[in-house]
Amino acid sequence: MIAALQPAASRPPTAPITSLRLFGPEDEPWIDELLDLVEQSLGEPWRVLLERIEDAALRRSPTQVAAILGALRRVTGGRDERARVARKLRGKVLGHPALDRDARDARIACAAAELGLEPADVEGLLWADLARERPVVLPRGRPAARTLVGFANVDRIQRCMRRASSIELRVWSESTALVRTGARCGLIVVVSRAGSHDGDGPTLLQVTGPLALFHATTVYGRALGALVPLLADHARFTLDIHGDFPGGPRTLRVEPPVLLPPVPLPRSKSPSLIERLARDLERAGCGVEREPPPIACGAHVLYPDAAVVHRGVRMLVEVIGFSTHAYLAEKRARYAAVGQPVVLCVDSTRAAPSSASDGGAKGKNEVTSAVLRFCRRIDAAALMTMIEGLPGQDCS
Amino acid sequence: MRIRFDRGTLVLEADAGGEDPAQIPGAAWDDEVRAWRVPAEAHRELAVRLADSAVRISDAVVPRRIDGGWQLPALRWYQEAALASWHAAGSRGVVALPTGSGKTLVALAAIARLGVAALVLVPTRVLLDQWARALAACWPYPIGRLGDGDHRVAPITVATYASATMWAPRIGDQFGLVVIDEAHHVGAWCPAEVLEMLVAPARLGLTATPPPELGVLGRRVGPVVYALGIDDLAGDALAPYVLHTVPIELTRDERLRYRELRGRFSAVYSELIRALGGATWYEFVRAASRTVEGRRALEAWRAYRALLGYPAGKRAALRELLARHAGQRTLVFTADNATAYTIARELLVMPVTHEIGKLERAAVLERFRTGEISALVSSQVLDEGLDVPDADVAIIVGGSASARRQVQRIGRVLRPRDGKRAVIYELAVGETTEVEYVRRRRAGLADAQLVAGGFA
Repeated sequence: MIAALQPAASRPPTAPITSLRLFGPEDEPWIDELLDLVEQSLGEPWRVLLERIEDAALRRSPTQVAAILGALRRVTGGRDERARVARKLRGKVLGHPALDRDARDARIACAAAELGLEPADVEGLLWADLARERPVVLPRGRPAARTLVGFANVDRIQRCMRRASSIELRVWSESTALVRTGARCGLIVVVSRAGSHDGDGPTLLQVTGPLALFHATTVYGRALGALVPLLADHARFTLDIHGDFPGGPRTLRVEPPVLLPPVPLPRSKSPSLIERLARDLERAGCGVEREPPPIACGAHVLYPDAAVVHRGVRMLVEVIGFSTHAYLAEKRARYAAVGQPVVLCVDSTRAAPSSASDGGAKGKNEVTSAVLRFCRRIDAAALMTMIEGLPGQDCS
Repeated sequence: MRIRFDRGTLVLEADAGGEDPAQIPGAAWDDEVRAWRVPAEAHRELAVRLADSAVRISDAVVPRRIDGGWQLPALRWYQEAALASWHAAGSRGVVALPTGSGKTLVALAAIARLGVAALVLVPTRVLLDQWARALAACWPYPIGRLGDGDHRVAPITVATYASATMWAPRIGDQFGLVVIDEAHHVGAWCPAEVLEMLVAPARLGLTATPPPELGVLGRRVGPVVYALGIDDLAGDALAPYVLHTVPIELTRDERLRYRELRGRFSAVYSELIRALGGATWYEFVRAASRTVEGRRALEAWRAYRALLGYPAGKRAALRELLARHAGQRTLVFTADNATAYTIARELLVMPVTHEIGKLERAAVLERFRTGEISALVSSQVLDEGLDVPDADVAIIVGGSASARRQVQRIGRVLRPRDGKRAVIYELAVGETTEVEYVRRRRAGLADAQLVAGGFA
């Protein structure tokens, strides 16, 4: 018996679609009220601020208030320094139970004298790193209500994503970053062009994880959530989040206008494979264009990683992770169909064993493509040799 | 047919004349890589099926063998018996032994005897450290660690559930055995998908409290192959113990406030439960959150729970018990972190919570081991798995109705020592919901035959 013939993400969703409620400009007045309370509580423990908020009756649900406070904590940060001091104090003060007032006071006083502090300071600093006990601070001044709205929205969408088994994303502008981020997170990203193929239609990204092919799962929720910050760069998009939410299976839809902050992506500590290749090629005198524009190919889209100009020949380069023979053959056929010569750099540890068709081949329109296998690092010299040797390329 | 591991699944590619992967049970088509996939855990079943069908396979999924050099202490009779039962069940299944009886040693022996690369899954960072230390003490090679800022993979690797979820798609083909500590969490805290993404044919679950219905644990790991309760080992592998329930009275003001809050909550609760037709607690909370009255009821619920968590009577009782057992290693358990911090602040004892970092926690436990500090207070972190040798007294200031949690807490002080008799106190406020909690905990314990009576 065959469990599923198509990826779950491409199956027509039968669940009802509802719009995800996000924060907007209409929330800014009560967030400003909340920020007033934050300013009143500067230097006091967070639990005091939380009590003030509870008493203030902001006419918002605890969930909404908690979301904005979460965004505030994210904006303020600064736990590490307090943790260092608190840890040191706890090591000195906490020990056998101090069962009466005198024993307790004596121990606090002893630690205070040793550290040159007042006993009251010791009491205050002892727990200064804990979520409810740390002092309220605004190191960069009062944040704008709109900033908190943006961060709270990212968090809200990501929380929904964590319950999702797949998403569908339609974007009307550059989709490269989304596709690459999805792939980097180990997700399956099936890209196609919806509507007319003249460039006006959206690019449809069906994103899920391999296990979601077999059953609904939330295990990819965090990875899916990595795509959310990238939406800030898109003026027009439709995000459908498919999952089992409270109340049953549903599709939650997110569409502009939605306030999202430009969140910088985490930077990789080491240069990527393609970046190292680009540097090697540049050192060898080649021209390199990083991340050239995607290429539409019928209902599909191709995302070359670089375009290399070597001795007057322009050749696209795409790095392939896990692959099968069928996948590689299809990829080469698509490049051939759009008339673009390409070298597919294939990770030999994750690819299907090499075959006779790896070498240079002519496709339709006499366009060439080849497969260059690599392990850990792509050999720039081998790539240049391959470009020179491909049939139809005159590099003299 | 060619079989390769990719992102927690096996990718199946047909060779000329071989079996069509589309005919493999459970196979699903992946449009991205243009191939069929099955979950990684199906590897053994798939290999057997293809071998039976005389299909020629090129299998790139081969978990590593590991070298010997183990230095293990001799197993006790029940540890040997547990291991034998597990082997007899095809090296799959759950071993249920009480806390403190040496489940870790059973797992170490299983890894040593199978001689294959192993992945150990643990719920918390504390347990990650503990397992890594235990493995390093008896195996001479580096131990891999995934979690708490570490990402080092080795033939024997310990990973928190959370880190394993992220890493399984990458390393799921490297291990022949997976050990799941606190295996009752499989399907909840430990996502079942982690086990789906692992090729490992040998699977060992460890728990002190197997769930009555194994469900996903049974499917992903196997049945309970060996089980003993506290009473089976008390006086032998575990210390004998006595459990006292200490009745607590509320002050007049506290009682009035409790009744008022409880009344406010109950009115809305009964009405909504009637209207919803027997809803679960989660459904009730969801419905209540939508109305002002409902939100007030939830606030009242939180307030009376906080009141019962640490009223004046518990305060006094706790001081008295700590004074009575001065100098003895004592663990204080609370219903929530807020109460743990309140006690820590009042009595200047060390709290052990998720907010206390790895280094500080390790230092605190070391001081507790050496006797430099005699009491720790915690709401949940000390409940499970934490190796705290020679704690003599447990004081349960607050908790839930969960019998499982109670067993875990009691187990913290049952590590045997010559002449030791562990003492456990359970503080319960009379004429409140805590009475029912105590009743349900006892009923649960009796059902599980994990406690032999003797409540004083």
